[in-house]
Amino acid sequence: MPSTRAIDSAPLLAVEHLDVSFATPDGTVRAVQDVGFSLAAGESLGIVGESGAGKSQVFLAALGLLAANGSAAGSVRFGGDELIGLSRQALDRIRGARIAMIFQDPMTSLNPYLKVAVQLTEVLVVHKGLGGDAARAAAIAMLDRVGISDARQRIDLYPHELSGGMRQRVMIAMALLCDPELLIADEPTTALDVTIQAQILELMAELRLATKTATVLITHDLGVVAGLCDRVAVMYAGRIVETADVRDIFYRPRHPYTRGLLRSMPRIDADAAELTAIPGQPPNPQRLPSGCAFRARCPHRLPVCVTTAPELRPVAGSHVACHWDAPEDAAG
Amino acid sequence: MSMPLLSVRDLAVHFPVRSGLLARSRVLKAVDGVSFDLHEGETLGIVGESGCGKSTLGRAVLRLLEPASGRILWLGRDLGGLGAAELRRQRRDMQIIFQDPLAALDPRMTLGEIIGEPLRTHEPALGRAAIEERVAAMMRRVGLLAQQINRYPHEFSGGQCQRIGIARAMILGPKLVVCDEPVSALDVSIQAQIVNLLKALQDESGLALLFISHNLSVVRHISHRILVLYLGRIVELGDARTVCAAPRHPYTQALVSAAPIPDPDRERAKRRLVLAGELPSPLDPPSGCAFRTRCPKATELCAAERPVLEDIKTGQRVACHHWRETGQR
Repeated sequence: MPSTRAIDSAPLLAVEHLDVSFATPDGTVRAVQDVGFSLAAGESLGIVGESGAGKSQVFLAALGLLAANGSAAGSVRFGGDELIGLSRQALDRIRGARIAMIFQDPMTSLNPYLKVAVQLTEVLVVHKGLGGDAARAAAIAMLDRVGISDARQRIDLYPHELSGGMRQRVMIAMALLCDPELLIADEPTTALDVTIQAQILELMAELRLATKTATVLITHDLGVVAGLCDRVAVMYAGRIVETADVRDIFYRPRHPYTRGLLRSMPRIDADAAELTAIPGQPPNPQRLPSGCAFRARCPHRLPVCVTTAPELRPVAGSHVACHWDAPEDAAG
Repeated sequence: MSMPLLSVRDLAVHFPVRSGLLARSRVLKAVDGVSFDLHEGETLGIVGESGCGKSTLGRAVLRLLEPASGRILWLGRDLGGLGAAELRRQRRDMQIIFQDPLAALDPRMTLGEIIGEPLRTHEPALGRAAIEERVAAMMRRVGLLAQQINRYPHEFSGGQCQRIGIARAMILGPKLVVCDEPVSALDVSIQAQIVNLLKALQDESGLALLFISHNLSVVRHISHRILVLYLGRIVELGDARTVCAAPRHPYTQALVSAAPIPDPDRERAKRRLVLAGELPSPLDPPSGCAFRTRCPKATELCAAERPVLEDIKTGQRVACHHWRETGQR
């Protein structure tokens, strides 16, 4: 993506030419390739893609949380500071305090041996220097805020004594305790039942209005993005293939993959005689094809797609990585 | 209308649960008093959240679980009265596919062995070449390559494994396939492939489907009728479009409003009905209407008396004391 920093005021988060790769016995896996985007303070960005698209790895790399065999190259600037290559101590001052992350499965992020109270107050003691009583009071207030009734009692429970929805509320409370500038939510509702998902999404929308925290929502569910995000980046096989305002993504999608995703989703509010499935399957990240990674599944494939990977280029308000020019009237 | 393929009457499936060493055994009513018909060529969607009994219902219909009471009529015959041998003969007409396609396939068997196994069981007279021919034809039909016949399941993606599971279920030409969350583990672009395949197979063969899923958008798309379960009981049953466009039970209304719409203007403008609280323990369901603890319309009547499933004008059946007040959405 061309740099627009000279014009805009400095973004909160600026990712440029980010590559993430993993060394495996079968060779190098290029999980993220040349990803770039920026996020303004208070903005909400959706990162959409299917499993293996690299959407989580972008943020794990930014926070220094890649698996041991992973490495990142490129630049991730947060409030002016470069995060790639930052020491662990320096990252620890940012993680949990200025950037918070919540994950799909709260049970793997919460320590099963520690009461909720210990896990919540620790954040405040370490990052804010609060004393025990003040930290406990603040933690109870935050549990209350995220909709946990009887917070004063429930704070002394262990994670396994809470339901899935409650645990996700605890995770959100923990993430918001230090009033972060950026909240990264990785599939926060995917493991939850439908009515509990609705509760958590409503809570996230409500908190976003109240706190003005910039949010990145990583998800495979375009419906969730439609409700919560200002802007959307669609990833496929490690690259951003399209990024635009949320209405442009849904009403004027340009990349054949984005268009295919929208056509393949059944809707509760409309009839469709048949879903238009995207044929084939995503490529093996260990053996990415030459040129455009989507070409084998693409209905608009051109000869150039075989030889040259398309760059993300600006098209009428969107940025699209595709050699094919989508017609202007394209809806869905 | 012709005789239903399947008639389920007052079906109950109970599990004994013992919580502590000395605790007395209690009964979990996973499915309680469920009745419905399924016709040839029809898809009945079964929706509800985890623990509502939808998978138990699917398995009980196939007699993979022993019901506590109730009847399952298959083309008018009571499956409960059949001996083991006769049940096995009937079972060739009833198949099942599962959510986790890889876990449902034996990792040590080749595709040819997996897909051909029902043929070897039910048509022992068939020769090797005949089996291989039918397996190859079925593989092509579900979108696999016939030359993959000697490969193993782990060499395939989730979507491909689900095709293998479908091929195995379809090889005997069944009349009914129970689909238990068949697309929930798959990526969005692959979900549509599998849904389209199931619909095409149904169009060709007049197959009936019981399509179990928590995803109401998928269920609406594939089903002719939808059955909504809450804590083991039917709360609403009706035509798929009507149930989704004009749900009358407050729980169905909440499910419909919770389904995200991939359309920013509609998603942001829609009326939301977010339920308070969580599913009560199925071991200790609330008295009267089990949904009353989360229901915005609940009154004293709901605690005292369990609502019966009644027919209403729009063709739905609804179990709610207050459906008249819930109005059109």
